[in-house]
Amino acid sequence: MIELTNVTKLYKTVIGVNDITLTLPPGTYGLLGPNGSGKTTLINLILGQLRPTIGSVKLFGQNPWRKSQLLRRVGLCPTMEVTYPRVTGLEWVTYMVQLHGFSFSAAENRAKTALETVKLTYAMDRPMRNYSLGMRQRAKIAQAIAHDPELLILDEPFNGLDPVGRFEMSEFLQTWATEGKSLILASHILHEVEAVKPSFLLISGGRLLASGSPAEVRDILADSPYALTIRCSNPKKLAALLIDRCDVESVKFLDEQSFLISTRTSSQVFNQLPKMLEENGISVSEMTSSDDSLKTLFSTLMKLHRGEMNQGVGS
Amino acid sequence: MPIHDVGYRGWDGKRTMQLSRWWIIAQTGIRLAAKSRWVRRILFVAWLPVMYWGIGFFFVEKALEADNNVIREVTPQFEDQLPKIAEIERVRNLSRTRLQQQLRTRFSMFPAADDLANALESDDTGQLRNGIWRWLLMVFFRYPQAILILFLIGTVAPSLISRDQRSRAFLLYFSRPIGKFEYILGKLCVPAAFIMAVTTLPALALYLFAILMSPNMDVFWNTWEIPFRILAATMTLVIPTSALALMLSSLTQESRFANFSWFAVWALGHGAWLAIVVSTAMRLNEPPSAPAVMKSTIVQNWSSLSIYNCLGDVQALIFGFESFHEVWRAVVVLIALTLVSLFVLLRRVSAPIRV
Repeated sequence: MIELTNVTKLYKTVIGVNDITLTLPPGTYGLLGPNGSGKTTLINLILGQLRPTIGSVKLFGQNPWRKSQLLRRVGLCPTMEVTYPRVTGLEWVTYMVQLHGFSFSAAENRAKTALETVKLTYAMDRPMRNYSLGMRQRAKIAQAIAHDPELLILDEPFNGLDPVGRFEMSEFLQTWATEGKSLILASHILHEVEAVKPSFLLISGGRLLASGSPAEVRDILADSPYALTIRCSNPKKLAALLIDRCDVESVKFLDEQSFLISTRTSSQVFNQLPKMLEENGISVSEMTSSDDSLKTLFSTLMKLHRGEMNQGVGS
Repeated sequence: MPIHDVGYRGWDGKRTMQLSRWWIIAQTGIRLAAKSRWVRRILFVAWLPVMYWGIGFFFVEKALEADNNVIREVTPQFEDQLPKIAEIERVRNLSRTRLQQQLRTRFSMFPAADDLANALESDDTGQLRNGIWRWLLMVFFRYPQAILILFLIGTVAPSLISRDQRSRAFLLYFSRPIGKFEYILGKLCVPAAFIMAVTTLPALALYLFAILMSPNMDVFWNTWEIPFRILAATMTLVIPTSALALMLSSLTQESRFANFSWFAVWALGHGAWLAIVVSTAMRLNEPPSAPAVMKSTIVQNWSSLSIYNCLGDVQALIFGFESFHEVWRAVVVLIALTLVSLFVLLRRVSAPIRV
C-alpha cells in the first residue's frame, strides 16, 4: 500500500524526515511521535503534497506527487480549526465530498451516512460554530470517511473528545480496521492509539526509531527506566521487600502512606508485587506511574539508538 | 463452495471531471459570501444606480427621436410602464440641443463629454446612439460601480484564502483530487461573480432596456458590439482586482489585515496621484478639475499610480473613447499587477503545508 525508500525531506537546512525506508501493507498503523517529530511531513509525503528531497514514495504502487487522482482512495482528517463556522455540519461535509467528484445529491447522501457513522446526525443541521470541540472532531472524521476511502489517515483524532467520545472513536476505528480498510493514526498519546490495536511506527527527529506490534512496544517499555508511586498500608515494609527482591534503583518516601520507587526492570516489579502483597498482608490503595508512557518510550528508544542500552527493539 | 471477497471495494461510479472542481469551490464561496448581511446590503445599493442610468437611457432615446413622430406613439406606452418618472413631460420636449447643453455643463467633468456633445451635431442617428450608449455605459462602469466594487470586494475577498490559511484547510483541499490551479480558479471566481453581479448584469440589463425602448430593430444592428464591450470592460475589472484581492488575502491569516491592505492599496495610489494633481493646480494657478491641470503632462504621466485611474483608462479604451497610445501605461500597470498578484498567490498556495 505504502512504500518509502530512503526518503529524506529537507526544508532548506532543516530535516523534516531523515532517511526513512518503510513498507506498509494494508492494515492499521499508529504513527507515534512527539510534536515536531516529522509525523505531518511523513503524511504529506505519503499524500504527495511534498516531494522527497531524496528517495522515493509510492502510494498504491504509484508515485503520489502531483497524482491527485490517487487521493480519491484516501481520506484525511488533519489537525485543523473549523473553516466555515457559519455553515452546518451537513453542508460542510457535503461540500468536502463534492470535491471528490460526487454530484450534489450523491455527496449529500454520503455526508448523511458519514455523519450517522460518527453519531452526529442530531446536530448536522446546526452551524458548526455552535459545535463543541468533540463535535467538530467528529465532523472532520465524517468528511474523511464519507467518500469511502481505502486508506484513512487521522492526525490526532482524539483531540477534544470526552471519555465517552474517546471510547466511541476507538470503537469506530476498530470497526473501520475490521472492514478491510487501512488506517494510519498519528498521535502523541500512546494509550489512545493502543486502543485501536495497530502496528506502531515510532518517529522522532524525522527518523523512524522503531516499528512493531503493541507487544513489542510494551516489551521496550517494560524494561525502560520507570518511576512508580505506591500508596499502601505499610510503605516501609513494602519498600524493603522491593529492594530485597527486585532491581530497584532508588526509593523515596513521599509521606507516611506512599513512596516512589525507580526501577529499570518494571516487569520484574509487576511480577513480584502481587505475591509480596499477599504474603505480607499489605493493601495497596493507589499505584501511579509518574512517567508519561510515550515520553519514556522515546527516551528509551533514543538511548538504544545511542548505544546506551543493549535491549533489542522490535525492528 | 465459492469464497467471496468481503474486503474493501472502492466506489467505481461516475465522477465529475477534475477540471470542473473549481466550480464547486466557486459555488460554495459565492453562497457563503452571499450569506453576509453586509454583502447583501452592498449588492442592493450597487443596483440603485441602474435606475438612474435607466432614466438616462430613456431621456437619450427621447432626445434622439424627438424630431420624429415616433416619439408621440411610444411615449404613452412608457407613461403606463413608468408612471413614477416625474419628468416624463420634460422628456418629450428634450431636444438634442438640450442634451448638448447638459453634456457641456452638468457632465463636463466626465471623460469625453465634450466630444460627445460635439458629435450630437451629426445627422447619423445610428452612430450617435451608439456613441451615447457607449459613453453612458463607460460612465456607469467607471463611477458608481467601480467605487461600489471597492467596498464589495473589500468585504468578500479578504477572508477567502486567509481563512483557509488560518484553519489550515489547504490540507483538506489538497488531500482531494484538486490541484492548486483549480483551487485558485475557484477562489478567483468568487470576487469575479460579485463584480459581474454589479457590473455586467446591470450593464447588459440597461442595454436590453435601451434596445426595448428603441423605435425599431435597426438599433440593434447599430449597437450589436456594445455587449462585447461590456464583457471586455468587465474582464478588465475582474482580473486585476480579483487577483490583487486574493493575493492580499493569501499574505495573511487575518482577514482584517487583508481588508485593510485592500483599501490601503487603492487609497494610497489614488491619494498620491491626487497630491500631484493639487500641486500641479497650485503651480498653474487653476482649480484642480481644470482641463489645463488634468491634461498636463505630469498629471497624465503619474495617473497610473492609481489603480482606479488605470481601470478607468482601459475601460475608456474598450468603450472607444481613448486610443491605445494614450492609455498604454495603464494597460502595462494592470497586466503587471495581475501577473505579480497571480505569481505571489500561486507561491503562497503552493508553500509547504504544515499541520
